[in-house]
Amino acid sequence: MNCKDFNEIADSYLSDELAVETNHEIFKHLDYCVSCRKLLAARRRIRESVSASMKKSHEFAMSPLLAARIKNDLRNQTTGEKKRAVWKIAAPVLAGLLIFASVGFLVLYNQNQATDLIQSNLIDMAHKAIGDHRYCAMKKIDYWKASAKSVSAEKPEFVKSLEDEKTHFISAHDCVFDGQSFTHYILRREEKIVSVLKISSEIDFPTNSKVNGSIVCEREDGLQAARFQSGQSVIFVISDMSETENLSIARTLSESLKLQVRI
Amino acid sequence: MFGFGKCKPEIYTNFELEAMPLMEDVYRVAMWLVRNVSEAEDLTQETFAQAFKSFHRYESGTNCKAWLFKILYHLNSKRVRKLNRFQFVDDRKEKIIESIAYEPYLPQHITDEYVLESLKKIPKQFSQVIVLADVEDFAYRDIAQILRIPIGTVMSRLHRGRRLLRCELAEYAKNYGIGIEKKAGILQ
Repeated sequence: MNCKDFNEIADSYLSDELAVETNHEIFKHLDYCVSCRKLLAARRRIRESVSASMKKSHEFAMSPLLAARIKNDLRNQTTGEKKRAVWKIAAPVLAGLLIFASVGFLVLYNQNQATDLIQSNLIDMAHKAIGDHRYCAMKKIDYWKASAKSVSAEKPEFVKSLEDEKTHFISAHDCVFDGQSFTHYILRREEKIVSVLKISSEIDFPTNSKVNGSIVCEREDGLQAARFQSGQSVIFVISDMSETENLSIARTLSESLKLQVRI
Repeated sequence: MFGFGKCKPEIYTNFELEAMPLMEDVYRVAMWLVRNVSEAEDLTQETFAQAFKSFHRYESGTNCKAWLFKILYHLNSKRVRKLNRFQFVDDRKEKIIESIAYEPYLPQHITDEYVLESLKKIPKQFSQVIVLADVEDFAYRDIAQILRIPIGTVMSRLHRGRRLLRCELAEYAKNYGIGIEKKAGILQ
């Protein structure tokens, strides 16, 4: 290695970028070349000065405020990302809950609407059943008594459950009152006339046990009306007896129908 | 549990350990690049924000400083493009040094101020390589990756840049009557 070669690679030697073999050649050359040793020392000094001048210079020194600002920003970013990540999980859950609540509300609303419609229909039917009892059973009782023998064969099983010493079956027939068709069973308990009116309804009644078979009592113009649902039929028990007595007949019928399952 | 709750603070801790101590180095070079305090601060802040976002991609234990500087130079290139600042390379000095048949004498007593002033006079494409190599102690390979140039170009720029710097220092010494180390210069 001569001085010219050394001059070319002196900087790479200082940067420690040379191969081990080349470094050995440099050592050998520096052993006997004083001028190259001085050149190397001078370049090392410049190199160190470049580094020191920039690192010491106030012009290139960072403000401590900047460091604090950057650290603060990054911390906020971490917190913000945490919040965003929580929202990433929470948002779909909340959306799901909202949809679930909306669907639930709509279902309940529709059910209530349907129940209100059924209730309104049942009240209407009850009025008609009371009307039929008044005009068919009470006014024509003598006619039904007279024809009692001819209809005895039509006496259904569930009506038989009502018969005892006090209660006697009089008639079974189909009749229409105010546009509503009924199967009308007339009975007499002591001196009172009892109508059992059955409507085979096209309404889809709720099939839950609370509604199916539960008895509702009403009173209109001195008459007691008890009604209950049995399958797709609605049964009305109407009489001018006390509420307790009328209800007891309805209960007996309801129990009997439950046993028979179908009328 | 979900990944976020556990990992983000961990990432922040690792970032604080590995990247944060290099903030002054990043700022120094940012300042060297833009020569404006406000812009250098913005560039440093942006570099750290970007680095933090992509820190999951950084392989722990590798050269974090080189990784940060790559981001810094990338952002600076974007900034320059955005500002539409075309940089014309002044190659007059380069041509002068190429025409000189000898290495100038090196001044004996150089101060940090002289060195810095001389460094500022060198075209940026050479000075930035000197800064990365001599101030920030990057290997040629790292400088090549940071500047996205071939390693041969790094070596050639460094060689020519240092010669330019020596010329500047010699010129400076001559103008201010500072003693020179006569035997340090040799013929090329």
